[in-house]
Amino acid sequence: MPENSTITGETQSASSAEPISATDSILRVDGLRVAFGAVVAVDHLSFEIQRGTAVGLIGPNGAGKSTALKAIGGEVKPTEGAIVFDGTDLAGHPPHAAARHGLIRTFQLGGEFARLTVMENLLVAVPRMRGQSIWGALAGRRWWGAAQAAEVRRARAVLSRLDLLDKEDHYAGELSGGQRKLVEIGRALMARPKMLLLDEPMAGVNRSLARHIEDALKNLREEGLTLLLVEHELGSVERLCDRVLVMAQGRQIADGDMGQLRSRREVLDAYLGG
Amino acid sequence: MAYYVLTLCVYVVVATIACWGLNLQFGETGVLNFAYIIFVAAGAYTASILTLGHPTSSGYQQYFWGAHLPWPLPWLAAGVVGGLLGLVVGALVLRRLRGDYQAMVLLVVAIMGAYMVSAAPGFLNGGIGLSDIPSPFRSMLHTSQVGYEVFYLGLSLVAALIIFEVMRRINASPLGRVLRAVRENEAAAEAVGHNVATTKLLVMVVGGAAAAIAGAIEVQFISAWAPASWTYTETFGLFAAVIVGGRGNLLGVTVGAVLVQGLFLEGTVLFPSIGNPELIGAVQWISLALLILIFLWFRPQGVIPERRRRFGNLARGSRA
Amino acid sequence: MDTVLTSLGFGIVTASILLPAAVGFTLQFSATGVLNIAFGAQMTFAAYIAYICTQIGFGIWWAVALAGLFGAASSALLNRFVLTPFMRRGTNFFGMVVVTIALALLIEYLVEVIWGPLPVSYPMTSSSAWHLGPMSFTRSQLIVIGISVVFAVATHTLLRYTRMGKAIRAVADNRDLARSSGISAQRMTDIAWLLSGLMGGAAGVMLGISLSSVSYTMGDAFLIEIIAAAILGGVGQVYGAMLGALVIGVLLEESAIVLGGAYAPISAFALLILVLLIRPTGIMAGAAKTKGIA
Repeated sequence: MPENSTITGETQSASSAEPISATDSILRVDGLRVAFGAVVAVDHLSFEIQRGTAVGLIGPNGAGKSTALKAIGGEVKPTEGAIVFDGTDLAGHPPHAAARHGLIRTFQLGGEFARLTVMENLLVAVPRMRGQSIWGALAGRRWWGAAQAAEVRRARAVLSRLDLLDKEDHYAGELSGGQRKLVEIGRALMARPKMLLLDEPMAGVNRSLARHIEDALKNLREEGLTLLLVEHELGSVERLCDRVLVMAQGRQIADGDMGQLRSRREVLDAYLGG
Repeated sequence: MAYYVLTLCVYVVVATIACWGLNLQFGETGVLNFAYIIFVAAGAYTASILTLGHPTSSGYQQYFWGAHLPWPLPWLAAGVVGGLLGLVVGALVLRRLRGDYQAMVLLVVAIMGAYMVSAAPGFLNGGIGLSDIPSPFRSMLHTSQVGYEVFYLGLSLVAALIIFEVMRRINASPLGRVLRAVRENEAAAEAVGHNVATTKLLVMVVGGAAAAIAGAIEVQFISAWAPASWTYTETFGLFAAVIVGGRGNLLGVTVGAVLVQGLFLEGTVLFPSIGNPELIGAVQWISLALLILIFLWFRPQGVIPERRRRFGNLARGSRA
Repeated sequence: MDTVLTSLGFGIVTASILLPAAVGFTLQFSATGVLNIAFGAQMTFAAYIAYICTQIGFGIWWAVALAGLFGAASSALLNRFVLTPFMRRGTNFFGMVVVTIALALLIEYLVEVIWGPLPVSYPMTSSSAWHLGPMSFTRSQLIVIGISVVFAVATHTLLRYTRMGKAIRAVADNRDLARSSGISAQRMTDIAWLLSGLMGGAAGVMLGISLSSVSYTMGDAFLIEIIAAAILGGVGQVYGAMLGALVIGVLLEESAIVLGGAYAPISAFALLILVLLIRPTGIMAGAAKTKGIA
């Protein structure tokens, strides 16, 4: 596996690294409110995330974390509020629009394509590949063959990093739960994301695979990808995230780093009472 | 005998093309188009009125418009009509509704279509349907019936080859992969940037066009077409062929079409007379239903299942 | 105006037949997630069973009851021994629809093989009509309406006031939650299919009485109207199905008079599609978030 390939499988030349500005906000959520009839799942959530940082979103069950994530990713329509990603307000847009802008969400459960091979799972996430439109398809292999071959090589680099290269031709549905999660992360990477929304990536995963996922996410951070992570496994959150937001009953109740938060009263109350 | 074999062949070609269209929608993309048969019908009617010429006021059949177009224009026009109908039906049904609703509404649309055509005698001659539809080049070729049928089979095979190549290219391309992803997990496909609604619309158009061409080929062979030819149960016969043959696999679907058509046309030979000859139809449908259940239970992937895609022939790990 | 009101009377009769059928159909969907296209064929079979009963010597209303019992038993058995095994194998929704269509064909043509393609009819005594303004009802029609009302009340009572009924409602909203309430899922689905089979069977006979003839395609033709009523009310919503039955039943008869017989079904379907375009979850939205419908 080439040493100078990035986590998204691409080769990185020295001059292409850009300095990350400390005040560069990539995601701004403003007054987000998601209500299903009378039930308010998310209530006036506002926060900003800097480019290149990893932020954790924690809270007791039913706090609205997953819903907030889904609203940001576009799967759920917000009742109110703005979601500005890299300068564009994506509130209310369908998920494929968010994905096209570089905001990719992973799934808590069942995000894989079961009857596609691992390699196909990754290939399908490549944005705007040649041959994905009807005209491209009808033009035949001569048109899209080379581009696909390049993406296959890129995918292999990603799989190699995730230690899944030998499973390339397995159907995703045949893999274990933890491996499937890795496939999803691999797939998210193929999409050349600017930011990842991770919905409980550690849930139901055994310890060794969880380490794998954590390592992969750490590498992502180091290579400049922004992460927003909903997770119950507080140890992982502490290891991965510089900053943590705490939600309870649809609202944000705290914002800081794990060390600070552990001692704050309202956070403890939320977890014990909620 | 030759006459009989040729007839069977044409029916098989027609069924195969129709099954390829349905395979694109259902086998590849997971769209449960229970209204599929109305696209076949649209193609048949289009080819009919474009070859029958203008209806005369004293004529025995009434329909709208009409022309005398030479082959292959009626077939091409049928494809266009089928595609447009796919666009309309898809836009109305697939974009606003989800899963279970789509299937039921499409079923209702199919039945509504038949009702509407039957109820409006001036449109497409109502429940009686159209007849005496001319076959292409018939009057120009001075051959026997068998000779003409060979010729017609040739024409249908030309159409089949073109449609096959279209389907094959889609199937092998990155677009095919997107279709299968939509089939497997719509939400995930959306999450990685694919517009699921547009994708489904696309296969409704292309599949609809294929269905319509199949209808056009059939109608110019059998020279008549009425609502009884396109009841919603016919759609099920096509579904059966796709499932039994192997959804997602063009060759498999072809095998399925041969099997199911064979069952229906050969049925009179295979099943001994049970008494009432009318019941043969019933026995055929019962056999078809049992065939489906058996396949769904023992071999849901079909006779020739969808093949696993491998990308092995690239040098691993190299960047060169 | 008078003809409109007269048709209203016919509409009420049609709605009365539709009600148990639509409720049964919806119940099967909400309890087990199966879209049972074979429902119409099952109704037909029950109607023929009733026919046999009348041939043996039972009165028509006894035949309704017996056919209902037959429908209940056969539905529960069908679910236990055909549908559930397929579902346990992981057959997805689409696969199950294909299974039910196959069953529909199987049952329908089996009926034709057994009883022949020609329609039969029940021995009915003709009676004078009762008048209610411009509407007139025969005795049989009144009984049909009565049976329907009984079904409606019984269903309501079951769903509202019994533990089983609440569980059935719960499982429509959230399968896992309902399972944890202590009622075994198996028993619940059995009961759901018994009830829906009972109502479907009775509806089949009622249809045969109303049409004055029973044929092997009868239930299948009616299925579309059942589906329309169920969709209109919101798939999986039992009360919605009742409302949908009323609307579709009346609409069918009214449009038959106003637009002409051939167009009657079209108007029902046109209404359905219109409603779906405006309100995809059907009239009773409520908890229509079930099963990712909307």
